[in-house]
Amino acid sequence: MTYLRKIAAIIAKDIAAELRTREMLSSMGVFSILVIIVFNFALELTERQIIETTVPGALWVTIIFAGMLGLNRSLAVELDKGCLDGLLLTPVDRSAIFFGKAFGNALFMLIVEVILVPLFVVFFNVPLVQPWVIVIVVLGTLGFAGVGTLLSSMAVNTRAREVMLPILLFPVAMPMLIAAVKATSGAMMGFPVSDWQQWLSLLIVFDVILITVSVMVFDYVVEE
Amino acid sequence: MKDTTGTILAVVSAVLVATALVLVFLWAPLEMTMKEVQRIFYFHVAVDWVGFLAFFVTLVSSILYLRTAARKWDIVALSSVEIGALFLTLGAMTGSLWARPVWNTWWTWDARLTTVAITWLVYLAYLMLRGAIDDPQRQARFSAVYGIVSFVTVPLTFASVFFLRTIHPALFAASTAAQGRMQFDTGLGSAKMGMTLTFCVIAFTVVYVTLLRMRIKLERTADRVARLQQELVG
Amino acid sequence: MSEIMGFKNAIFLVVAYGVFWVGTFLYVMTMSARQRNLEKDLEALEELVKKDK
Repeated sequence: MTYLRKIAAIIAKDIAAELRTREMLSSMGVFSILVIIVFNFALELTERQIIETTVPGALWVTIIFAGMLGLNRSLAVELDKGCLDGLLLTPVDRSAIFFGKAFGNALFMLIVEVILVPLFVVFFNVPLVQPWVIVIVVLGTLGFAGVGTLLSSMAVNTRAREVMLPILLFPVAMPMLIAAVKATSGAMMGFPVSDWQQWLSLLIVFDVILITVSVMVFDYVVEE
Repeated sequence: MKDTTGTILAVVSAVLVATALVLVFLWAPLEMTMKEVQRIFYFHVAVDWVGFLAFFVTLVSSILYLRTAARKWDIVALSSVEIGALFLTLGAMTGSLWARPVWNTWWTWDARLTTVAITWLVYLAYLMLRGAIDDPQRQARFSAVYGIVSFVTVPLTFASVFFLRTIHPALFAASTAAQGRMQFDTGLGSAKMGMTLTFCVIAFTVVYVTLLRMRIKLERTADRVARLQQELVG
Repeated sequence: MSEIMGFKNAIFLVVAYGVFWVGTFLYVMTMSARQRNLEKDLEALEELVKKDK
């Protein structure tokens, strides 16, 4: 099996598992809707200007929290059912396992975002469904899912499972969060790319560096 | 158990810090707008700087641990994080105490302070991760992995908040002044400030090394106790 | 006026350096205490091991 097909196989397995129960996607989805509603009441979104400045932040906070739910579940299930051990026994390159899990997690986040972003448009009346915004959301999701997969595979093996992932992930995801929010803001308001391109570059740099480092150290996390 | 290097280091540290105090209070020039309060700056910056140096030490020892699986590197990484956390805590507290009279606020989210806050959170996460794992090998491995991954993001955080500030207008006019733009009555004054600061940084680096050695020794003694306990039980 | 400001702010200066000393002192004291305890344990254990043999 070629490298890419191995990754695809792992993703397919995750999708198949999720389709059977639909637990993860439904909890992520419901959670996101709840967060939108809470934001609506918590933030004084009365004036147009306030909406425009706060929505990108609110969007990304929602994505990150829902993402963490997904990451937690995804690797907890692996551990509980012993799937990870099974995977490790196969002659598959460890990095392929990492990419498979990471892309799988990213995919689940993207599915939730496909519903989430239009919901934001509907509830807050902001022009989020634009090509650049979509690019930014995808980039942010990839970086977050990448480093999140690494960290949750560690967190899931600790005593304080659910709590550990946010503690580990938040400080690390901070630059990605800042860059994504600023870039989304710029893109949403229709500013030319040159205005906010440094945020886009920062996001790309974050993704490249963090995913590379994560792949390199993933071996050490899963070795026994 | 005689520990000559340790004692020498401790004495040297004490001497350096005492000298630093003399320099800071008697030799360094008086800043024109902030007056005496500015003197906090010397220890504050020195301690923050060493707090970040500690992170670098943790990075290197984490990498070395993953490559060699030798417990000694794990001990260095752990000890460095603890002392780094102590230094950053002291740095943040003294920074707040300096900010309050000068900027009229306890905290701002500028590039440097944010990076200090995030680094502190990383240290905390590192220590909590270790606390949540029982198996010593796994504890060492996982924390080494986290040490490496989190180190990479700190400069990125700094860059992102830095970009933030250069786009938006400064929140406080005074904050740009406090970001290193201090005024002294003569050119020599600025030079003296620079030298005092450098001396403080050196002094605190020595303090860091002293504390690091102490902490490492503590951990190794604990290891020996654990091993002897095992021997007795087995 | 600035003299008064200088003096009021001096309290921050004092507290800042105080924080330093207290903080470092506490840490060093806790470490020394732990070290001494561990060394006591070590001695006791070494005695026991010798008796075992």
